[in-house]
Amino acid sequence: MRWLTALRLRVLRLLKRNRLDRELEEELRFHLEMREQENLASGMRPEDAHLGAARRFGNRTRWQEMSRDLFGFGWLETLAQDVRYGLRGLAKTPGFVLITALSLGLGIGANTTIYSLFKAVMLSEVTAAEAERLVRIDVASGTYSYPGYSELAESGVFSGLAAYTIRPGGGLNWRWRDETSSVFPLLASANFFDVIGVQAAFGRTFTAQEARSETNPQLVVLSHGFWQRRLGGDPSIVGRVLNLNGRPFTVLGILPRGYRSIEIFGLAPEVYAPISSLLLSKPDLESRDHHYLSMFGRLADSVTREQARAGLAVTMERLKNLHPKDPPGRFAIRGVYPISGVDRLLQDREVLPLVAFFGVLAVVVGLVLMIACANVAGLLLARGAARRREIAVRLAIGAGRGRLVQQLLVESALLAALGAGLGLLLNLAITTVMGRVPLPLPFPVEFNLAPDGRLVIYAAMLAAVTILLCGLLPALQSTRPSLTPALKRDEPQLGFRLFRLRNGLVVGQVAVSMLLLLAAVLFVRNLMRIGSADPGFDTHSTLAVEVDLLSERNSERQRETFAQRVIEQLRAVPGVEATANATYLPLSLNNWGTMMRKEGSSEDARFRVTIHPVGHDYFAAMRIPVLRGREFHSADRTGAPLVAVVNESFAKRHYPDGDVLGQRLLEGAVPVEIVGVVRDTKYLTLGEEPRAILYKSCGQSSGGTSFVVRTAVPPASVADAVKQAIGELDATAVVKVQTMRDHLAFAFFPSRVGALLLGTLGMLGLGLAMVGLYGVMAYSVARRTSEIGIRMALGASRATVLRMVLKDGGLLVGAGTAFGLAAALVATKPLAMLLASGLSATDPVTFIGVPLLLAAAGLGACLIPARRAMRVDPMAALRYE
Amino acid sequence: MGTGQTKNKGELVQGTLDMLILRTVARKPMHGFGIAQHIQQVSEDVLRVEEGSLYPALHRLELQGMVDAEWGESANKRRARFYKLTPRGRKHLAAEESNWARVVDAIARVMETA
Repeated sequence: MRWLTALRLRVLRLLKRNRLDRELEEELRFHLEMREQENLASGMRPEDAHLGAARRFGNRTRWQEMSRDLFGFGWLETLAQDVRYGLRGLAKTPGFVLITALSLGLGIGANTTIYSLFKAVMLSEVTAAEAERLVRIDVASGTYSYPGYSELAESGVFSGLAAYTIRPGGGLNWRWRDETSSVFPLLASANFFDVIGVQAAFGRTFTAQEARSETNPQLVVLSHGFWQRRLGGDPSIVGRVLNLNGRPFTVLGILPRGYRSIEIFGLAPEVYAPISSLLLSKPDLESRDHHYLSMFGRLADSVTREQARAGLAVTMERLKNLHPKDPPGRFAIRGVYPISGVDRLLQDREVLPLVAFFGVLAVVVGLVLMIACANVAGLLLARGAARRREIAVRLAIGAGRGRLVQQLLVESALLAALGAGLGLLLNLAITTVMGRVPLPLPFPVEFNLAPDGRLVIYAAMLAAVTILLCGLLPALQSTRPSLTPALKRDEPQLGFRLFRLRNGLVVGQVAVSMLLLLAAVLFVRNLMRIGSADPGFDTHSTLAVEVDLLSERNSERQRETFAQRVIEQLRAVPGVEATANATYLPLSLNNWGTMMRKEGSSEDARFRVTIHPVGHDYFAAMRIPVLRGREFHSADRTGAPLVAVVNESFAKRHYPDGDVLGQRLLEGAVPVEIVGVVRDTKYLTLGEEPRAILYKSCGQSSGGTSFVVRTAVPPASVADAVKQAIGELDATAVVKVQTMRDHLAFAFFPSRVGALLLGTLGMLGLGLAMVGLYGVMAYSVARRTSEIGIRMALGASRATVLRMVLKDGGLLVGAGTAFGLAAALVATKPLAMLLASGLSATDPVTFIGVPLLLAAAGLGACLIPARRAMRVDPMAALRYE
Repeated sequence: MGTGQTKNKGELVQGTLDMLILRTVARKPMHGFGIAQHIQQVSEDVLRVEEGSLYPALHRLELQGMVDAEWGESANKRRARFYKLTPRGRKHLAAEESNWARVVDAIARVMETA
């Protein structure tokens, strides 16, 4: 093993460098002395003997170095040398190192943070055994009914098919030590944990056998977070009982820490319970028309996703024939795809807007990094220029150009490593803060933002790219071998060329910064427009109240009775102007529907209708204008003829010609008469298109214990009084009171986050570009000090000098702005489809305001160098010529 | 052996020098000076080796495992580094020798038929 011997010798050399050096020295000396003796013996004079030996030997230093190189690790040693030299050099210019490290740190930090966010939100994996064998089943209507699911589960296409639902509209009532609060549950089919295949950390999970819904199982499994937060992390809770919805549920076990639920995106249910009539209403369990379950399955061995999908399609065909009365579209399969990871993102259409948003963010931080790199490149160029003489000397005495370039690159690498380190620290800081900030979401989320190996690799890659971008050009530039001028320190030409290069960089920076800011501001305006969209009802003087009653008091009639009592009670609270109830509040993630048909049409003509049951005087309380007819009053209760109110969109869509008032619709066999039309409101999201909604009267359908309370005074001041008043009526109820604005905070949340992120990044990019501009201007003024001195000596006033400097700076900023604007006009066109109506892709406010902002910032950046130029003392400047 | 592959004035190209060194130490272990002397004497001064160039060659051969090196005592009780042929070196030498013979043969044939 030749290489092993060689390696051994080399390692030896490395460790005992001095000894081997001495030995080499000794060996060569022996030879020379022997030769000298020979020469003496053959009669030469002593001086000649010595010289003769040396001459015959050849260039001794050369032979020594050749031997030394053979034994050394060659490149490794030169690298170590370069690192040491580079560190010394950097230590001498701390200011430069600081600015560079900060620029790179900010650029890399921003990039890695976005990456962490993306990974945590979109790519988080589900905790499950062999998660790649789990697939989501996407049916035509998104969710499915329980009887439908049961049929599918029996079909045997998968080795296990499970279903679950997360009820965001309100949790389960949980009674614990005299306090009633809400827990956020995941209701699952009996085989849920069997299909997922996860072990509990304490106790166990429920099995398919014991959790069958027919047996009304009272079992529950807790999440780790819930167990820690609300039960104090006491392991003895396993086997004990939690009072949920008024009934005792045995705690079977606790899931492990860091368990990520099937719903990904960070959603973290607090308890897991089997589906049964204890937790779901009868219609939910038995109706084929109530859709709310999400389904996933485990692929059988050696079955692919496509095969499973095909098998499923066949089963659906069979079921379609079994249920001829169901709408055929219900049995369509939209897709079977992985439950998490990149594959899911690529295939799940609902996720697409989020992915697009992250895409925009990624581009933005990429641009910020580019600006930072340009800064660093410019600084390195200037530094290289200052070391011109040193490099020329080294080239002159024989250093190879490659070697010098390597050394300069090593310096850049050290800077990049420093920047990457800072960037990672920044990432850590931001993600830690973000992990602590509570989000205004109606359900608990847990994001796993902890850094991992992939993050470090990503940061290293970024650092490598920045080295190449920032370091290569300056290194090559600096070592261009035209030695004599460098040695003589006389290079007006070179200085000029360098200057132009740096100028080019700054123009580029300004252009990119302009592009960045334009895009950012455009999007911020877009998001704010969406965010401030009028939801269609009063948001400033209204309270949103949600009350959850114990299940034994929660029948439809009991709810309605309770609601009426609450309305009475609240009338007496000072400051309250109007109160109304509803089954749920708008923009609270509730999306109810049912199938209806027009009176006189056939069964096949049924269509899906979005339903919102509201109480009497609801529209008045919400200040939603009643356009025609009337709204509900207290007479519209059980026993009275069924009535409904529709919104404008509904009237337009289903009764475009002719009067909608008096028309009747049939739900099943039950007729409902339309008695009023109201203005459109937002129902599910703030950004949605107008939706057709049919309002039923609470008193005639499901009853409602959500309330809207309109106040004459600022609503927050009445909140406590309202809460107390309701509490007096039923102490076991969970009462949640917030201002309507807060309730909508969830709907505003995406706009706010987006605006914050983009705005910050845009500002960051601008700041970095301005630092670059300042650097170039300062350098230019310093270079031209003698020229300025001469001008002033010849009579130029300070004002003239100021104008001269500002003109130069202005040219740079102007050129950059022009390029940036041109690029933006082209680049934002394709983004037009993402923008809200009313905002064009070349929005004048943005396209005029941002350049002005940039010009102002540029002016600021030039100011300090300009002032320094003005204060040049002509005598001093000329003296240092 | 006739004229070796030369550049100018008796300088030797690397491959040939290696072969000569290996052949020299095949007889018995020698130090660098001894090898230089031997080559000069046996070739009757025709082959002039810039003596210092022996050493990088020797060290390279050592790294390649063709020779082993050890400190020992020279004829006049001085400390010197002795180089000895290894089995691998022996094999390499044999290969180079036969290759060399073929090349010389070929050159000779071309010169004869000119």
